[in-house]
Amino acid sequence: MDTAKPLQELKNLLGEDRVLTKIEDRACYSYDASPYISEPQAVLIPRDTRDISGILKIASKYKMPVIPRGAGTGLSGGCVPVDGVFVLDMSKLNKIIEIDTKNLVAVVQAGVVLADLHRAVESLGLFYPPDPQSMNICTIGGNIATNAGGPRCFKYGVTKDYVLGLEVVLADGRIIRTGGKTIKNVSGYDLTRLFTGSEGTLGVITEVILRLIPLPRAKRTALALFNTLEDGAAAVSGIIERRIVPTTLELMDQDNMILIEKAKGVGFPMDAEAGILIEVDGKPREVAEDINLIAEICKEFGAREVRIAQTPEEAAALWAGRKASFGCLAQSTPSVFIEDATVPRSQLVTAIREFKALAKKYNLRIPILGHAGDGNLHPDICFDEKKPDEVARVEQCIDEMFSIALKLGGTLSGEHGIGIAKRKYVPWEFGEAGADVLRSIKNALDPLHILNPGKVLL
Amino acid sequence: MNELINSYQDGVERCLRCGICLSVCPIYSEERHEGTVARGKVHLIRKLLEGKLQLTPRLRQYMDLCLGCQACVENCPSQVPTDKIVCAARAQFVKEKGLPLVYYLALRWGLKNPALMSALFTSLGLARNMALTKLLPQTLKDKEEILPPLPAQTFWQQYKKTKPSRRKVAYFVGCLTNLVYPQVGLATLHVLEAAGYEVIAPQAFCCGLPHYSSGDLETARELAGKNVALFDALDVDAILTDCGSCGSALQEYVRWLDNDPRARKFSEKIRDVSEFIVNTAGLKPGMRSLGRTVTYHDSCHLNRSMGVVKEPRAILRALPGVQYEEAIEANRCCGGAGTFNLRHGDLSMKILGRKMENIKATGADTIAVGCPSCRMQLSYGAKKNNVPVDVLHPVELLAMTFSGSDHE
Ligand SMILES: Cc1cc2nc3c(=O)[nH]c(=O)nc-3n(C[C@H](O)[C@H](O)[C@H](O)COP(=O)(O)OP(=O)(O)OC[C@H]3O[C@@H](n4cnc5c(N)ncnc54)[C@H](O)[C@@H]3O)c2cc1C
Repeated sequence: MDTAKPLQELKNLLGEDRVLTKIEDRACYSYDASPYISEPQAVLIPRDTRDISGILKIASKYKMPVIPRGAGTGLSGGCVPVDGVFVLDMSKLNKIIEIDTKNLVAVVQAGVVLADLHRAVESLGLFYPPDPQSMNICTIGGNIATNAGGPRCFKYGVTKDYVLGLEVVLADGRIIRTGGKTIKNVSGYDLTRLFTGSEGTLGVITEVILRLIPLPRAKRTALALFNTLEDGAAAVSGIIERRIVPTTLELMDQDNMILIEKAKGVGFPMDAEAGILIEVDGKPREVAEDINLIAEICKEFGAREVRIAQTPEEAAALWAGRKASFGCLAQSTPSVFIEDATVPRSQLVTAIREFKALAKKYNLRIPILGHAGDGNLHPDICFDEKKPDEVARVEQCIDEMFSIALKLGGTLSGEHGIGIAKRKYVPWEFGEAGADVLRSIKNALDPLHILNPGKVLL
Repeated sequence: MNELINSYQDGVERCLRCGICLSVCPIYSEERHEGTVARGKVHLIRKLLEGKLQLTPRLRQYMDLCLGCQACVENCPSQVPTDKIVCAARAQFVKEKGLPLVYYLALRWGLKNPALMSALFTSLGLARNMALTKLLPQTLKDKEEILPPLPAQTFWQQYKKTKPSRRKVAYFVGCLTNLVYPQVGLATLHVLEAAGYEVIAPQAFCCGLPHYSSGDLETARELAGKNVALFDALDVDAILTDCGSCGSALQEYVRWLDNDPRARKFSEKIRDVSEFIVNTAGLKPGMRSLGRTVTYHDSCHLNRSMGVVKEPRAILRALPGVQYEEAIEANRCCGGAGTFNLRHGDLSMKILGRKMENIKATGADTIAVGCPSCRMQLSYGAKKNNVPVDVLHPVELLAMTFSGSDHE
């Protein structure tokens, strides 16, 4: 493509300093947090929705592909350029427009960093529950585009459960608004949900209306250690059967606990197969009762030890191990695929056992973290990208991992999205007819295939 | 090619690009551009080492946009030493492209030559007295204003030897203590003498940090060599500083001088004065009540390089009549970063603005800080943002609690 003309038009629209074409700038927008890297043609820095609309009009005119990019923390290559695309940097649209305490909603621009939203609403006694562990970095736009989840989502649901309305710039530059400030809204097709999880392939999200709830007043934390994965999983089911819904049920497998213990010495036993970090929130009296009951249940199901935090400091100490796990992982490997295959809760143990067997079969190290409440697993596949034979084994291993997840009634991705990494498996999960429906939606909204081309669908 | 950076190949390859550095980098939070934060910089250096980038002006610009505050390093899951990588890249630039003229004059001529520095500062003082600085263009005037009122006499002009004692420590007097804040040096002497120490203070050379962080390794090494030689013969266990920046550089001499054994001995003896008082000399504040509300700002070098965090706070909390209030983000860089504020005025002022907001929220009337470079920036921030606070060194506050008769 001859880019001189569209570039000139973009510069006229945005100003010279908002169209970056130097190799150094393109290199800085060639990656996200996945192992994929590829440079864009240029980086565009819009100031507002109007700029984005203008950019997409030019993009349509020249059939020039564009990728929206939030903070680039995605784990599946969602915002990594392919074939000379233009990166649209959303990070400067970062205003919190309104926190409406009467309707319990927040209206924010897409580039707002999640933790900034958390701070703003919590200072008013309100709560926005989704908590992807990248919350200090990632943007709301990226969260919606990937329908991000997090530890608290077992109790509170994922991002899509909090999105009430959107402002979206369509591929041809037109601007639409979906949903609104009401909780109830059944007018027409649910476009809000359609754009949620669309990974930048259907439109550019510019503004967002989010549902808020009251901030729980208290929380309590415990760590339960089990000799076997089966005991741990049974305890999780036992807790839920007693009608307790913890906010968090974070599972660490033995490989993870060994990794963390060796690096940080937080007091994890090396011979336990499962550690489960449990948190409950709510009214002070309730959470005190719940956490003690949870401890009893865990013991009933064979926990070798349950540690209950009595103070916020003790709770932080219990979390320290889990929080260190990413760092310990990072130091132990040159590259990693952080997968998020997810299965029904009842299949959690089977999935973990089968993934461990894969690690053995392909001679790879795969520590596993999981959100045990919702069956969302993070098998972290460690490898060295400089060793081609290892990379090949990783690919085969991931192929098998997804067929296992699907066989067990699960899904390719619980929360990170398809991006580049998982697009070849989409027909496995959707079937040909299902994949056709996805394609028709894409064609209807982006007939020229200029929005994040090559992602989600092959 | 890239011989000064090559040894960091492993370091740059360790970066998983998770982006955690984005959440702690003071520059990124203002600029929101990947080239200004560790993840981008490390990726650029990786490409440079792969031969896919050259030493271009744009690359230099991004390498220049770093405060050296090490917040990224502290929070990096993969422990990528971005601060060192950036300094190595700057050094490579200097080696191949030379130093810009102003740097050349300042680093190779001014800062290397104590007498000349003194003369320059004296002339600035004179120019100010004669109101000549009013004639400067506005941008330069802003920069000139960052430098606080200059004392009538330097530290060395006021220096008196401490009483002889069996217990001896050495004291490294930094350039800014000598020329801008001699009262800190005098307080350091005072407090140590009160604790029963004889303080041996040779007239040291500049620590070399401005040179090192601008990529002028050659001069940094030369100065390091001279300072090591100067202190080598002294029979002391500790060499104290009251400047976190100097201290961090002095501790790095062993690396700058390629593990030279004398440099190692020197670096191992370097200690911050607050840390020494609390952990070795013994903290014994005087009786005079200060009637102040004090907050503490962590100098990045003192905190992240030297690891001194608790001790200055312990001093402040122990002082009579001091109400201590911890500020939020107390360990976030103030944006001064040596000469960063002179080179990137607007950006530095934004970073400083956030710092001053946090300080204002404590209600403190005094900021304590263990580094003169931060102190200049914070004093300027207080003036610009109308926050009525004194900015002082913890040791000065400690000295103030001694009423005349306590120790003499
Ligand atoms: C340390 C770490 C921990 C993580 N933990 C979690 C976790 O617990 N749960 C979880 O779900 N994820 C997690 N992630 C993954 C990642 O943070 C999420 O996917 C996040 O939602 C991405 O946000 P972002 O702003 O970085 O988006 P990006 O990575 O920039 O983009 C992600 C996708 O969204 C699209 N996009 C971005 N902004 C827009 C927009 N305004 N309009 C349209 N499309 C857009 C992009 O095109 C791309 O396809 C983690 C990542 C890291 C590095």
